[in-house]
Amino acid sequence: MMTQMHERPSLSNARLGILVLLGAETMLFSGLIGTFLVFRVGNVTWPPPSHIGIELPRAVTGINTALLLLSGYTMFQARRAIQKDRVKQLRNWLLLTGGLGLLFLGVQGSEWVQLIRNGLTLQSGVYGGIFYVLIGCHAVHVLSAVIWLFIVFGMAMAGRFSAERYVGIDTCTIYWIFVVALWPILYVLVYLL
Amino acid sequence: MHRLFLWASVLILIMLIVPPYLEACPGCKTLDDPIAKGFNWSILFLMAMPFTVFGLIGGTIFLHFNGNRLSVIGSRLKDRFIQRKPFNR
Repeated sequence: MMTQMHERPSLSNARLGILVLLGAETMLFSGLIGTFLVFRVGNVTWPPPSHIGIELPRAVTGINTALLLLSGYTMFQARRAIQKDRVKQLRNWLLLTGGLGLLFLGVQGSEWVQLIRNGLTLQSGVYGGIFYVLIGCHAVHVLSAVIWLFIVFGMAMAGRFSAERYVGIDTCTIYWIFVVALWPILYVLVYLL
Repeated sequence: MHRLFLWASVLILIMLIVPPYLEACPGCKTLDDPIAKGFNWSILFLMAMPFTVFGLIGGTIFLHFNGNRLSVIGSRLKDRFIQRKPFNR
């Protein structure tokens, strides 16, 4: 009986830790989305009259969303590769995922430069303020996920992962999937509504 | 019983007197106002999130520890109702 109890799969501290972290992150973004809802529903015209000429790049961001969703798939494939002990495939999938994440950030950065040139800044009003805080907060999370991913990639190059030992890949995958899954919600709220 | 009735009466009296001064939800009375609507949606959203977060974390942990048992139950139900096999005892 005792042996059976010890054979039960245990939830590692790292996985539990990442779940708690994601709970806190979800509450952070909930607060920001709540703030956005107050301003969005509270204004009959959106963007507000002071920002009427400014258009958010919906189409380009839509393509960027597809790229980020694709990176979620590649990250999932990286996890599957290490579960089958295919370390070379793991490295390739990780590299591809990191590349897609960087591409997403690059496209967003170029969009921001264009928007700032058009007059949408953090100080230009509620519309600019909530846009940059909400989307910027997500961009910081994508950046931190990319940094984490490249650290994991370095560990994979050093041969630190195997089919029996891959908790580092697992936690990074969970975080990456969170960042990817959050983006379509923000895209619909901020760009389409 | 007598004391309970007394306290209930005092409470009802306070509730009848105090409402103009205590407004728990100032946005609820004027829901035609867009700002009030905004606060209303925001409050509803924020109210739901802790339950969602704790539900997801709790669900993940529950599935982690009970996933095997649930899949056994699932396969038995599939055998019974889809493939029309008797339960294995």
